[in-house]
Amino acid sequence: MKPVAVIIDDEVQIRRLLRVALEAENYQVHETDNGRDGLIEIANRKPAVILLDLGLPDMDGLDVLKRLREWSEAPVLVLSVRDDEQGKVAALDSGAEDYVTKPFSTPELLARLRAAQRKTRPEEEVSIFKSGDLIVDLTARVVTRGDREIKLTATEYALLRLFVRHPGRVLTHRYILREIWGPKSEEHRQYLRVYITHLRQKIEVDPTTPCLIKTESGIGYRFDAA
Amino acid sequence: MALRLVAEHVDRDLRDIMSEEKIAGPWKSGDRLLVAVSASPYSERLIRYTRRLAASMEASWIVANIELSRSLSEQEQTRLTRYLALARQLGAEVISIPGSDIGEALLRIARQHNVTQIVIGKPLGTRWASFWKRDPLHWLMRNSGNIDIHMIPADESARPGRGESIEERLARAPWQDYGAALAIAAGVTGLSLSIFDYTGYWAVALFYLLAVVLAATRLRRWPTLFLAALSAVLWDFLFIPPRFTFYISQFQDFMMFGAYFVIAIVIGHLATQLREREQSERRREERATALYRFTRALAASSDLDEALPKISALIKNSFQADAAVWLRDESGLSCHAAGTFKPSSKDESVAVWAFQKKQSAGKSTDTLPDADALHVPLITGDRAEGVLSVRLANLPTIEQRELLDAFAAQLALFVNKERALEESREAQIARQSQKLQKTLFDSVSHELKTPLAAMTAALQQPQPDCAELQQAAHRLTRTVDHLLDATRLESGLLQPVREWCDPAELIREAVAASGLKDGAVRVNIAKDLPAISVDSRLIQQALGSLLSNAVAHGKSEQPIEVSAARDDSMLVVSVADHGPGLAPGEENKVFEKFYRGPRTRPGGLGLGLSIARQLVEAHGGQIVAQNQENGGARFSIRLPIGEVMRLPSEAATA
Repeated sequence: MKPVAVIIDDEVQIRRLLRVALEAENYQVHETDNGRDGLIEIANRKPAVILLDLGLPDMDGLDVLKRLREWSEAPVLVLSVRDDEQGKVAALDSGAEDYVTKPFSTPELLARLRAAQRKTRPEEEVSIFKSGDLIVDLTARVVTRGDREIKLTATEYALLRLFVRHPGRVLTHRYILREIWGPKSEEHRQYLRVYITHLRQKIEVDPTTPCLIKTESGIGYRFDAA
Repeated sequence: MALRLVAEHVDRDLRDIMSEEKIAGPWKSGDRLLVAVSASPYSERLIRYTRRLAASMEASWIVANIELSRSLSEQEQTRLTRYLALARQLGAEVISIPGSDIGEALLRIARQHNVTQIVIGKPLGTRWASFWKRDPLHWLMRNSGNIDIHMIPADESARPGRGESIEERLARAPWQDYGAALAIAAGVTGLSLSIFDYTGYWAVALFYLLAVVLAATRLRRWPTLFLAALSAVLWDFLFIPPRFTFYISQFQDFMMFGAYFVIAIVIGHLATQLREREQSERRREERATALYRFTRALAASSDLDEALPKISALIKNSFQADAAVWLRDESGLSCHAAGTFKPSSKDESVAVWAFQKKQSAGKSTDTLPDADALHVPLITGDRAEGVLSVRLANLPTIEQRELLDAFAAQLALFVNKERALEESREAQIARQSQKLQKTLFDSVSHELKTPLAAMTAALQQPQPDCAELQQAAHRLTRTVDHLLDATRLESGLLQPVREWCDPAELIREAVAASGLKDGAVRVNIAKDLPAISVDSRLIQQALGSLLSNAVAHGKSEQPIEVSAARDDSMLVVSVADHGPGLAPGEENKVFEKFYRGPRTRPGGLGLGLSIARQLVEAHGGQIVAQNQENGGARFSIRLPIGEVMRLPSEAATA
């Protein structure tokens, strides 16, 4: 049986475009143009992935997301416009897996879709992560490149561990802060970038052109494990 | 009519000449009338008469109030204030000056203001009163020279009851001063009795005289004169032989007593007069200082919100009273928040009345005198700009009323000026925005339509040209992005979220995001640049604008140079190209919205650099453009480095 995708977007053109792209990837596509119908559709179809536009005619896309998160764990990919960093961050913090910005390219969309689905596979604790000659052993708490061990501070290690456990997924600033420093972490916000820079200098092959930890401007960071 | 205008013009020039050359007038040209008023109930008649006379002669007129040293009763003050307000309302110029001699003061005003005719009321007083006082009327007539004097007899039938009853006068008498006079007399007498045996009785007269002079510097006029008379009587009775009688036996004692009596009275009179004059001078000076401070406070303020708290404080200082200011707005009248008291709804209705009728109302006026506050309208020309409300504890004196009126006049001018400024600013903004709108409309429609036309053309070919489509789509996206950025900046929604960044990383990310190929850009970043606290996204966007600008204007065969270095307390990030450079005088213009230089290639909205500048300025930085010596333009972003980053400490593990 084909996996099911539900598209909730009020623009006919976008829906048509998405349908073509998703059907080429062997999805069974259902689409609606408003939030109310979208929720019913999701409840009935039990989709493998949901594509949700934030600007809907009848209700806020963010509300749709919050409501469906009460009873569904299906991965949600948010479709947003540029210049709406706050909307994207809010959606990610409310449980969306990832976002794509309109206008988007089809390969990019499909890559995000795959990443979003991958991470929701049953959570078998990743104990060892490999990328090139970089090895992160989460059980032994050891990071090595080739034969050499890389010394990390507590914060750097916590960051790396967080990234390794969410490969390919964008992590918002707020999510990272909360995971590492707990609820009262706002004071660390202004230093986050510095910690990331330090971590990059230690684990990236060329820290000036990072391949592992990518910056998502205005939103957060993405760990590219591919 | 023309002749009248000429005459007025000549008269105005003449007054200027006179004040310049210090000629004591009058210099007969047009007519100008002067009328003297007091708290007397006949003053109203005088004012109206003069007004009729002035109207029939089409002359200007002045109402003078000579502030005599005698203090006025409450009733008299109210009356006088009313007369002066009436005079102002009828179009007179009102002058108040202190003086002890009405005639002299009037003549002084007349000469200063080039008055040709003086109107005064004929006193009803009994003849003997003018026997020992110098009669101001006769003196005026003798000394007026070529100024005509009109004397208006009082209308007997209009004579009210006595202005003030005996009881009122008694209630107002300075009993404390009389008490003090008695005490001084008793004290000096006691002292004199004890040393009288050594000094003789003539020396005692000197003690008494000394006491009178000293008392005159403290006490009021009548208590001083009372002391002078009392001391003469005491001296006669207690000291001049034969003692304990009023009888004086020797002729030289009689002479001495007479001389003493006259000297004591005269000295008492002169000293009190001097003191009163000094007091009134001081009051005038206080008034002048207050007015000066008031005007200075207004002059030093750039707008109403800055000025009003200052003047509220000044009024509080000068009058020990709370003030509130009402200003005209669309809905009528509204109270400005800077006042020192919160007006009640009753205050508001009185203020609205004062505003609508353009007349003072409330305390110490004819209209609603029971109100807590005095409401003075702010009038300029023929319209009221607002109302100044002052909540006075006591009835204001004439001087305070005049000062308040002067405050109100100054404030009215200021409000008027502010309004005019605001209107002209608004008009200018409207003109500019109209122009901007047209430019926006023209360039936006061009920028949106061109790629659309290209797309349509590409699609209509038998084999759709994908490269062309992509390029057009890219251009369209950039246009829309720029418009959105500009709108967002304009709306003031932009709030930089600062975080500590490594400048080198910031720049490399921006270069990577610009999509420039490795050979097209050369990056040269100084070592050990300190971390800066900025919104990385916004600074990268600004850098991106500079990079795409450099791509558009540089020569493609030579790489764009991006460099970063520290200049004292600033971080300087430069983007340099090898294109034709900036035209002279373009250094600032390139950052203006929709500016498109003569050397610009077609395409683009002219928004990118303007957006970059706003982004950098939101961080307290600057952006500058200049030509390089070896050709090409260099754009530099200068950001303040600020404080040194301190990372929260942590232990190394793992």
